[in-house]
Amino acid sequence: MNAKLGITIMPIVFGLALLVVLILGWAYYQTQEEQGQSEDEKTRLVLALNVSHRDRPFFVETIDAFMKEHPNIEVEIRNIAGVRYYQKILIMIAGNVAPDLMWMGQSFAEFAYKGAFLDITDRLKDIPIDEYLPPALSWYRMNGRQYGVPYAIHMRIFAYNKKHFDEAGIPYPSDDWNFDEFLEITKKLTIDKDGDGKIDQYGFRGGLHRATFGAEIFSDDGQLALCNTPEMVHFFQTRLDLAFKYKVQPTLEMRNHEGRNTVMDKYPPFAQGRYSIIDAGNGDRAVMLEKCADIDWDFVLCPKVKRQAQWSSSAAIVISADTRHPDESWELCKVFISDKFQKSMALSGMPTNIKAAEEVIAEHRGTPSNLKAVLRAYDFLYPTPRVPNLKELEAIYVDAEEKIMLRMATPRDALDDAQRKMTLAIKKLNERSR
Amino acid sequence: MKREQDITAFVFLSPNIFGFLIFTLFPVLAALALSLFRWDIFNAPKFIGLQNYLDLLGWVFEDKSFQWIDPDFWKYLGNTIFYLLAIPLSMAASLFLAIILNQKLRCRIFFRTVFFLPTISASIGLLILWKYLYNGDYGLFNFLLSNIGIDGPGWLTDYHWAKPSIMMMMIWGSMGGVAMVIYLAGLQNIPRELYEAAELDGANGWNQFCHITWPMLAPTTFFIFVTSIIAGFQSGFDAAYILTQGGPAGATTTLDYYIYNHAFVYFNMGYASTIAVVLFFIVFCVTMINWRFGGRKVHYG
Amino acid sequence: MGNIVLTRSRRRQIVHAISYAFLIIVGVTMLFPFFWMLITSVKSRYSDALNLNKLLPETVWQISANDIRDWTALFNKLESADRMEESSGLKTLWTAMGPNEQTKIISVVTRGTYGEEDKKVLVSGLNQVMINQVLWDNEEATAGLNPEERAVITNNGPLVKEQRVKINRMIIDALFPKEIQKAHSYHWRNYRTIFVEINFYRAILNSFFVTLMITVGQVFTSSLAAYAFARLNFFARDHIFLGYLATLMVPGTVTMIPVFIILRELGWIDTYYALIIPPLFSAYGTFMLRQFFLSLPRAIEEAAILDGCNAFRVYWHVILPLSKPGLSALAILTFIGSWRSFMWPLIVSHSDNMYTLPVALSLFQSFYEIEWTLLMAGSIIMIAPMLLVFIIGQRYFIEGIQLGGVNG
Repeated sequence: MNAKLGITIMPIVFGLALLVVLILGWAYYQTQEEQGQSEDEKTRLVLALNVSHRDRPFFVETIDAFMKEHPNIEVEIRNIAGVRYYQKILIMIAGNVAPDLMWMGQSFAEFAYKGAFLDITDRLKDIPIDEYLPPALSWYRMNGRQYGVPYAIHMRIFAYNKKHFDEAGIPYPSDDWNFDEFLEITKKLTIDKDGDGKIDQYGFRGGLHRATFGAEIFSDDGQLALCNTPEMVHFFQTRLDLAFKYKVQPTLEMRNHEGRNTVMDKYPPFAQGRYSIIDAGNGDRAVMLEKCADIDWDFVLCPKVKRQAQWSSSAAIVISADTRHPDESWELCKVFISDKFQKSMALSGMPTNIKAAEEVIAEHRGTPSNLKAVLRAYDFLYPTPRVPNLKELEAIYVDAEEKIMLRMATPRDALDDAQRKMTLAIKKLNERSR
Repeated sequence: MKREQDITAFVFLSPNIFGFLIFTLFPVLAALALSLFRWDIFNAPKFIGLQNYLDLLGWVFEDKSFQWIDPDFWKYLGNTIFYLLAIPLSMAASLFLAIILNQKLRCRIFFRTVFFLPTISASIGLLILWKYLYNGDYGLFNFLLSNIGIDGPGWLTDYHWAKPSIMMMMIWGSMGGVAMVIYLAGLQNIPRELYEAAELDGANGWNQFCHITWPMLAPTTFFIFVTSIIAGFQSGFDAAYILTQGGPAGATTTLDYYIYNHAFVYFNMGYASTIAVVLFFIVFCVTMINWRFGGRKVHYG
Repeated sequence: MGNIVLTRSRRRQIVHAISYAFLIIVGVTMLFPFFWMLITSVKSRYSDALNLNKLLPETVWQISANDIRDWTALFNKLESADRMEESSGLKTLWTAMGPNEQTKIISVVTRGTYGEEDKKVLVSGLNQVMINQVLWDNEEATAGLNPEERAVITNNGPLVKEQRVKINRMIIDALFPKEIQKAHSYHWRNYRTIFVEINFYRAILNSFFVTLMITVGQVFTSSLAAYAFARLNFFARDHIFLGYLATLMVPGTVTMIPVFIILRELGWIDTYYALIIPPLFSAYGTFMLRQFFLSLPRAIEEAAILDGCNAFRVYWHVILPLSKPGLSALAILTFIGSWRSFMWPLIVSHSDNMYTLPVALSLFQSFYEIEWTLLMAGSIIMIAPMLLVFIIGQRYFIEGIQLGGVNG
């Protein structure tokens, strides 16, 4: 019996071994081939990208054109999936294999503070810097030095279902509307269509921005926590009221707090007519054109409470501080800053080059017809301040926010608690960086 | 004689142990040692002694005295331990399925394969599916419940329901998986003669199980239990990451997710290692207790 | 005696029947996600792929680049519509497309060639017109509609999507019978698209190579070590084993960076060595096989030792054949674990051609959006080998290994 089993095992083992040897040889051959290619005189640049499937072809086209113009530079794109992008970049930097250029978004400040990026202040004279939106430039500035120029702005903007307005006999909202008008409209739009006691159409789903209430999480330099100002309490109370007192907003969905655009959660129901107004983003235009094609929708600015404010984020391609080819990297970086590139990407993010943005608006046709609202919003964009340890401080705020929205604590209590924690955290973080 | 055994053992161990030392043991020791440092990955690590541990426990030195702020570590530890409750349930389910599938049924291979499907499917697909099933407004579960007239809870958005919901999902996903496979293999090891002898002696199914199956499976059970506990302490990451982002209000944040946040989002590698060290000690103690009870009671043929 | 036999077999039948029922119920819940993934993978990329209420793929009313059969003819046909005198369906379409698209199409026809950019322009122009329903009151375009559908159009009331889909398709068929294929319901072409959009071939090859190496390596080295821990008695045996066990208790998140740095020093980053060697030496396999070996009856081994076999011969001729269930369980689990492993290959490889399957599939995800249909198609391809391995490996769980002579 042993012998019989031996006979059946042996061929398998030999077969496997042979297979392994063959594959090993092939793999070795492959690596040799690739190494050979990198030995000619071209400069090799590595660009780490974290862009959606939709945007990737634009990058590829732009880079191909760039490589034609600069035959001595070879650009290799490393596509890294969105969800683990920063972790991967972090590990690459830790392992001294950082890419020459990389995409940067919300986490720019954290990396920049640690000195990960190349200072490009002196190189800015190569580009018409006056054409670019000054606030957008300031977001990528640290200690007076510029580290990148964003190519796209993604801001929160409201989208509304025109048909609901028509049915309720309300005129479409104007970009200058204020909170009272907003409340009136959403009340009228919240309807129980079939009379079963459950609301079928909610007036609103989403969040207003705290900046419109005059509230902020912390000061611009990140040194002072401002969690429990009266404005902030008022902000949260209003959010609660919208759901529980005026009942114009569904409550279970209120988990989606600022900055988390879970596309799958809100656009399909919007397309089905469950919500009249949602908070969308200008960068979601392409998605909305597909998913909300069944309805007639349009953009409108967020209503003004104490002042007008739109939450925004941006994206830029920055150069690593450890790059061995700073000049060539800057050449490539310039391409991404150029207005031509920005215009081609306009569907997923408005250009930071004001001239290009105006052209995009002028040439725009079709849904949404009120795209110019986005340009108006350029005057009051409110991103979260870029401070070190942003994520850690934000986590305290988010925790308080969730507690409030789940009604586990009153706004006053939760915010006082958050204020205390954040003050302590800021102190600790300051000590840590000394 | 002993010397000869030592040398033989060395020969047997050598293919494994060198790689193990370099790629497994050493990084683990380095990771544990990092807990005494402060390291933000970009700059060099800085030695700070036990500061991280104090932070973990919640003691902050402020105004010349120690103050206790509510650290989230205990909450997350509680969350992780809650998930451990899923382990005995899941193991029981796996054992049950393994016993059923061990019979001479037709389509046995088909069923075993089908049950194994969740383990090999892409986790993101399954998670998204469950997210839809659990949706408070239009998910399947609440839809069915509303037909009976019950107002279903917000499975993933309610503070008290989030963890049980994820636990149910985890049990469903793992009951036909690895544990069942290993139990099947273990059941095969039990000689048929024992069952036949017991049958002749008049033992019914339950007796057979208690006196033959369960004791003979002791090493297997121990293995599955230990690896499940170990995995259990490190579990919940995908679910937290994709389904709930650690919420609502930190209800589904497990220690592994907490570690990930501190290591790769807050750039606080030293603190993350501290959590890992504490986690390690807890798991180690639990395993040692099991070893005492389960590991020794191994059936030596 | 006859009575007892009857009840025993009857009892067995009942138990079997209950087992079947239970298995079927549970099996359905396990199969459902798999079918859902399969169905999602054949939906159109432009549809609402994740909507559980719309389980089956629906006909999309948008044209995709793949729906065009004859690009040249299409460009030419549209450009000639420009020069038409009388109004017609085509002329209406042309006018509705807008000056930008018109210019670009004319330039394509003049040039005589077209590229990807031109294709995009054409497709999006056509789709825009369909969204805006510009052709709906045009005689030629809507010639093929029956009275019901006509009523729908003239009604201007809210439309059911199916009606709109149907009408759009008819219009397309009327205007471009040869140039445009009908839009499909079941988009099997998604499976082809994956190979086009990312380097999927290479990812499959990489996955196969890496997984095979890891499986063979783990089973081989672990079984040797496990035998030593289970049957040999040597200095500090239990303590060393505890060390093995202890390494399993530290989460991978914190060991990631130290291992990465070691690999970087060795120069193995972004090579196959980094993908294969570190996972090979996990303590999981050693632990598992030790438990298996411990539960084997000692009798045969003792007999072999008395016969004068040294440890290696005992291992090779006695233990290995006896522990086929354990070894195949480990092989299956290692195969599956390594095939699905995402974090590790993500960390150690940067280049597109070193990606394994899970990492390649993650390229379909970005911060805001996920290409569900393609991701599901890729996942189905990823599942197939694991299923195969599992089904084949199960052979070793069936009685084949039951020994007749335990007491021998």
